[in-house]
Amino acid sequence: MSLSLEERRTFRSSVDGLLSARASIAEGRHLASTEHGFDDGLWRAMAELGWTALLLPVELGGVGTGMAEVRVVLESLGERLVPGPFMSSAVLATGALVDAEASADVTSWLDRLGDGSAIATLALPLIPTLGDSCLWPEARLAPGGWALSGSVPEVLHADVADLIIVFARGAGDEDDLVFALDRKAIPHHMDSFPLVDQTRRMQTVRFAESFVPEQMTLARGAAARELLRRADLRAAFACAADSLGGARAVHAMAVAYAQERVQFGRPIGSFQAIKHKLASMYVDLVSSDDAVYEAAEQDDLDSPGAIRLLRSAAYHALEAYPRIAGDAIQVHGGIGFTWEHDAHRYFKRAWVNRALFAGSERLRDAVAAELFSAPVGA
Amino acid sequence: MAVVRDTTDAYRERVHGWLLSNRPEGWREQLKTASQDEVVSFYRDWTRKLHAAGLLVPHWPARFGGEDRGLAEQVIIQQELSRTQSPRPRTMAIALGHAAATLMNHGSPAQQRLIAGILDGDVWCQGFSEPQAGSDLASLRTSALPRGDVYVVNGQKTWSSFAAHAAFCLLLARTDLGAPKHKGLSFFVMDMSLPGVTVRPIRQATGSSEFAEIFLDDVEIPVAWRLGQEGDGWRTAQTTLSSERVIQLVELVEGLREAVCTMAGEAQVQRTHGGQPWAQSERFRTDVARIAIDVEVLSAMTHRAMGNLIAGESLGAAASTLKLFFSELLQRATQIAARMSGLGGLHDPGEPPDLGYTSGDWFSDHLRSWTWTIAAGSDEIQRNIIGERVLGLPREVASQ
Ligand SMILES: Cc1cc2nc3c(=O)[nH]c(=O)nc-3n(C[C@H](O)[C@H](O)[C@H](O)COP(=O)(O)OP(=O)(O)OC[C@H]3O[C@@H](n4cnc5c(N)ncnc54)[C@H](O)[C@@H]3O)c2cc1C
Repeated sequence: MSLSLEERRTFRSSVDGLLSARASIAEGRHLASTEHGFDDGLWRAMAELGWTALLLPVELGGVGTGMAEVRVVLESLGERLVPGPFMSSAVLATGALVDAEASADVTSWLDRLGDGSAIATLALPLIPTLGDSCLWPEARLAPGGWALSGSVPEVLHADVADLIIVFARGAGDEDDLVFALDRKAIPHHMDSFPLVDQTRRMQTVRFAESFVPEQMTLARGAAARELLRRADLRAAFACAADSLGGARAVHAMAVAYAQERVQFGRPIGSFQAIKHKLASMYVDLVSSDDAVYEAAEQDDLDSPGAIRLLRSAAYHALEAYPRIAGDAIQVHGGIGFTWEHDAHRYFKRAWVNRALFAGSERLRDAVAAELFSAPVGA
Repeated sequence: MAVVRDTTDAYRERVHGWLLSNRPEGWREQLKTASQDEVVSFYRDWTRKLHAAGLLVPHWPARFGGEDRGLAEQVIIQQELSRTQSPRPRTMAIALGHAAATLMNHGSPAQQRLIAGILDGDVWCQGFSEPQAGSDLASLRTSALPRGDVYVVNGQKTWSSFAAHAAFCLLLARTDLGAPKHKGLSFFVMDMSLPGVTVRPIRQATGSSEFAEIFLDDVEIPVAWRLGQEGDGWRTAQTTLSSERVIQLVELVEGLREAVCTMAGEAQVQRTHGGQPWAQSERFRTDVARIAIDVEVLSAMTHRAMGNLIAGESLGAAASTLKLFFSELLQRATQIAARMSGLGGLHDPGEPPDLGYTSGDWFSDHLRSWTWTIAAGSDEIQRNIIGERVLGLPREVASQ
């Protein structure tokens, strides 16, 4: 279902409205020292406005819009450096669950994810292809289910997740698998992995012969790999949308500073070295915006042309954000290098976005693989 | 926003089919050894042929020779011209992209009758730049002083592309020597056969002589050939249809897309100094992939700009961002390809004609890419425009 132009405008202004009232950039700093690192009340308010149900089909009680609206939320969260599990739960995990063949179990989880009463996360492994790496948890057939062992090193907001979607390879001849693990029911161990970006929480999740009942299996074999393929693309898109928002905000900060800071008797923005830097950052920003916008409008994770655009858009935006944030520090001079200033917080979120889910390089390499696999002369 | 992607496949098929059966076979090879006169007449014939088939300017209003079709169809034409490796009438760029739009917007009925000539292959040139006035165009000195029912024009223009073959010139000249520099300018249509017009081709870095100096000695341009109001030349010169620029970009993007595939194909054959095919170099693959990614990004930018234009919005800052993004990408892409071609790619092409910006003769293409970083507002000037007009930063120096 896609929204009309008018509905879109309304949606955007409701996003702006809630976030400007409840999620200031300064507020985010305090949250870093709280237990889970994000504002529970804001999370509930977001859920009440339906943001957590954007990807949920209408048949399942959701809003049933698509990437275009998800982009608006992610971008706005990125703009204000808002911490919290929106991306991992409402976009990545929910998207994967919707992709999976819906069983009764999944549907009841989706209900709770949609209304925000439960939080989920996606344990995407470091290697974006299933099967061939020891970096994957391993599942061995056990009576009535599976015994899961091994670890997933980088899981966003696993500490607050009620449900963890885990990709695993089957031991021996067994096929690849995807599980939707009810965290309370499955024995596991969790170590936190503190990030330079304090707006994000990340944990390593470990399993030691943990028993997983058969009904928690989400997909097997080809279906599991398909789920992973789509999850990986959705993750790239989500990080890119967050990056775009952050890049816009930190660029605006630099422009404003260049207008007010006076040296040699005039605003530093009148010097071409600074002006041209800001203009180049702007081109980086606008090109990211157009590409992510077009990818969101296509809302297609399957056709080759759309995949190429999505990967390109994501790669470009993920690479542009650290460049823009770094240049913003430069434009600010000494003040930009202080802990008090927000520039470094954008810079750090930029680096984490780029590195998440096996990093932006995977997107570039996929484009290269496609280009160079074509037969000569094709 | 389905403006471009979902437009009828039937139209695309028709265009594709026509081009496949009508494009001149082996035209690139032929033109490489042709004289410039032959090149110009080749592009003129091709222009006529495209127009007869309704594939030149279907998006123009019917009263100017178009078919009142949407921009979406023109996008399809540009894409198919590129995909079928058909020629694009390069010598007609100013006539089709600039002159026609100016005449439609600002021309008198008599002036607008020149549009028919454009569709028949008349070459136009643009007489803006002067030896002393490049980036600072408004400081130009060529004068056009009213005397009776004519303006008497004296001065010198330079870097005027294809002026030696042009029937008409879009001329910017100073009609009021006392007014502030942006205010005293007027815009003219100048018949290049008028007495006192002398054209001297200038050899370009590429070896061929496409641009030229134009000397103007007591040239008498009838008042009726002034475009717009006297003193309004600066504004008139700025307001050309921005859609024409984006249409041109659509074709350039498709050209780049083809070029990336060609590069990847050549890399299976061309070998590095170590004897391996370039396609096996990790570094090279990465470089080409980044070009391919940027081509997708540029394509998205163009698509969105086109959508906005169709929705009736103006191009605004996108004119500068698109040009900057494109010119830098073109330079990078052709550089990588030219390096791959090694010494073999540095074989002297003599006086290569304009075969487009991604002709596959990578070194020539690379050199030609400076056209984009210098002409029509250099990259530096575009950054000034973005900094000052878009971001609102203060000017470095006061003009005047
Ligand atoms: C292939 C080609 C075709 C052309 N065709 C035509 C044509 O058909 N008709 C026509 O009228 N003109 C044409 N031109 C001319 C073109 O528009 C000018 O070359 C251009 O405007 C730059 O002017 P200039 O050459 O005098 O360079 P200059 O203005 O002298 O610039 C030299 C360098 O200084 C930089 N610079 C200048 N001012 C500033 C500033 N304020 N801030 C920062 N940097 C600055 C420029 O970016 C450039 O790098 C063509 C040029 C080329 C290369």
